[in-house]
Amino acid sequence: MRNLRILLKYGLKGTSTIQYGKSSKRGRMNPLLGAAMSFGFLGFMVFTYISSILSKLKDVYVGEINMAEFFTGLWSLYITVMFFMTFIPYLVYSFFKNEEIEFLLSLPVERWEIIFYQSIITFVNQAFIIAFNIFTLTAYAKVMGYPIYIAMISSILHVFACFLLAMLVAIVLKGFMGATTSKRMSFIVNLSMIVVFILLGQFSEKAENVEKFLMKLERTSKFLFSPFNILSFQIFSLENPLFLLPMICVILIVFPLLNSLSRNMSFEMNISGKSGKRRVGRKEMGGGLIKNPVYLKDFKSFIRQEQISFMFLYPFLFSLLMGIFAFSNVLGSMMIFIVISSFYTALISAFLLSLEFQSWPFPKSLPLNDSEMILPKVMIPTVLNTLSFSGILLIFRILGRVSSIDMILIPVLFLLEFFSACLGVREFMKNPVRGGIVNINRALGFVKVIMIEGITIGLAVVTTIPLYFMLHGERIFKSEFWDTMGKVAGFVGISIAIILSRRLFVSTLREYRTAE
Amino acid sequence: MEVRIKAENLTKRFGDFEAVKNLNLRIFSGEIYGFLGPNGAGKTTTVKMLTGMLRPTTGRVEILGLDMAKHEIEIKRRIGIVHEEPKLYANLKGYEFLNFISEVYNIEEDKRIEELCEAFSVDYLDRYISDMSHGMKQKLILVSVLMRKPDVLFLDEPLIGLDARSARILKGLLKKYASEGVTVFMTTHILEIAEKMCDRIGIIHKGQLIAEGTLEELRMKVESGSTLEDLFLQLTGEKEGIEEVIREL
Repeated sequence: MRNLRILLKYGLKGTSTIQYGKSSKRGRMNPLLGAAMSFGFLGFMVFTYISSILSKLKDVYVGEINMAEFFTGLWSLYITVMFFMTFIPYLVYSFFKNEEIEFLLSLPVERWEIIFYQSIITFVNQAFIIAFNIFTLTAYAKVMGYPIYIAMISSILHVFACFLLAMLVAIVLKGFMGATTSKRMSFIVNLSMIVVFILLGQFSEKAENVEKFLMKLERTSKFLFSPFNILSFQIFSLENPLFLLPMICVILIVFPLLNSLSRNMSFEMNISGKSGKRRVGRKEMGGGLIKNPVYLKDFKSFIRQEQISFMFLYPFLFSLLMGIFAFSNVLGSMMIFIVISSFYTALISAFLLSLEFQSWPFPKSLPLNDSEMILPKVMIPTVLNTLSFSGILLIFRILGRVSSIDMILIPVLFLLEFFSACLGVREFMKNPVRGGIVNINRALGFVKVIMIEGITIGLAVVTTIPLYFMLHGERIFKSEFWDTMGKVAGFVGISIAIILSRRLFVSTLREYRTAE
Repeated sequence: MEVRIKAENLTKRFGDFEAVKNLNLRIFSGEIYGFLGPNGAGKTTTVKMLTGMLRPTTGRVEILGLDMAKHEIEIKRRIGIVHEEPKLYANLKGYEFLNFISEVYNIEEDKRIEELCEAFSVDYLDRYISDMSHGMKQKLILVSVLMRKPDVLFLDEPLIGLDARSARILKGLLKKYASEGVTVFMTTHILEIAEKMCDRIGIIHKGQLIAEGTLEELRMKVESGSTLEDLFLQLTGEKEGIEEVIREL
């Protein structure tokens, strides 16, 4: 346990803050305070948004089904399934022997401590899901008049139980699969799960007639609030705290099981490529349209790193399928894309830059100027996500779900993605991790991931929602004052994104130039 | 002879620590220059400054007659660097890495690459770099540097990790290139190699160049000792107490 604490102490901290030649720390915010503020900001937004919806649904009953309860149950289910979908594949991947695990194995640290360390580090990237879950339940408790502290305890227990269960699944999956195969399999399984999940989501909404709709609602409600659906126990516990017990039992059973499984876990070496082939000299790299060697190299790294390819495909497939099957209003689907992709763009750009530092100081010896090295890291995720979003809008346009005027969102998305990518590389360059620690979760420390999450998601929501409402001539808020303020906030958000992108990019170049 | 590498009052400070102090160097075309020093003496920092990878705190670097402060990219295009640790892009395959280098440096000649790959037994280009051993990566980077025929070569411990055959080929090639006018700047801890290969030797200790010259000139500076190892230990003041330490251990 002591070792795990030590590993986490350094792992979550990210990198050293000691930098030669930089004596001044004026104006630097305490990073933990920054993380807490970002988490708080995200939580506040979720809490406010969900509270406003639940207040309207509080007294609405369809048959015997309370719509606020139904909404919370369904939303919690979505969040939990989303958590499993994103967390498990990352975790399986992180269990394969990489340079960091190899290093950890050389230390007098027990295997279970390595497993828990990797799991917690990976868990950090899912922090926004934790915020969604905790603040959704507290918003429900507040609106329905249940004790908020029970909601907090219950949602934290729920997240912890899910975390342990996901770990269990990941360890079992790891045992079944070979190294390279499992990387690809988990990637495919993960994408397939999105499809299944969205198709399952169909039973909650969209129905041609009232009778059919009511039947679906009743069926969904029965499923959601079945006494066997442990995922809803956090909601039941608000009325009857005895429902906390099964969650505690799950934790008490799974924890020792994990402990014993992880003590015997083996880490396989991740060998790929065909060593038997004999080849001397060059062959075509197959870059297609990409002619610039740095862009081509970074693009190859992008598509070969399953974790970051997933970060690209996930928002695309998720929002596309949500838009087609689940949401009657495509705004929800587009918001999902914008929010998730802008956050992931920052992580991808940071990770692409971290690859340069893994081969440091080699990149510094190349006859390329700093912007030639940095710009591809920013542009690759920005352009790919913009193309992906344009594709979604085009599909929705063909399906008649959006109007041509919605295409105005494309340049706005480009600006947001560009800002996020600049933020990602800038945050990485503040304390670049050098050497061969090949783990996307370590490219940026815990605190930075949380901060980036808060900033990118906040900015995405503040800019795109008002713009969408304005494009459709609708009001954001009932109050004239707040409606105007909301729209002003949208413009301010876009302006901030433009101004800060430039500043972030220039300061990244400056840091890269002086990196030693 | 043309001066290919010139350092004037080169100093590098990291905070309060002075890694290199007022270093002055003049290395000529066709010369193999051995740069020796104990661990932490400032060898790698010097190489990094001479290759434009690290900006000096004060002082000036001139390579091939070009000022590093003004022509960094042009200089990098004309020199070759082999680092002590062959850290490369792990996500690329061997041949993709060579392609990347070829495109960055605008090289179109395939024949030379093939010859170098054959010579160093680099027959694993379909493998990902992450799956290569230290020696394999070292040979790959050697091919990527030598295929460009740079005018000046900087080699930081180039023989570490190489098998006997590849080491012999590399030594032979360096001699051959030097005879054709290429300047070789090499750091090494293997003093026998410096003794056999280098035309001149510079010894750096605690960031300062404490001795420089041919092996004969260096021999004249110390009281006794015929091997470079003896000279080195005497000049760096590390000879005293060695026997005692061995006895006590």
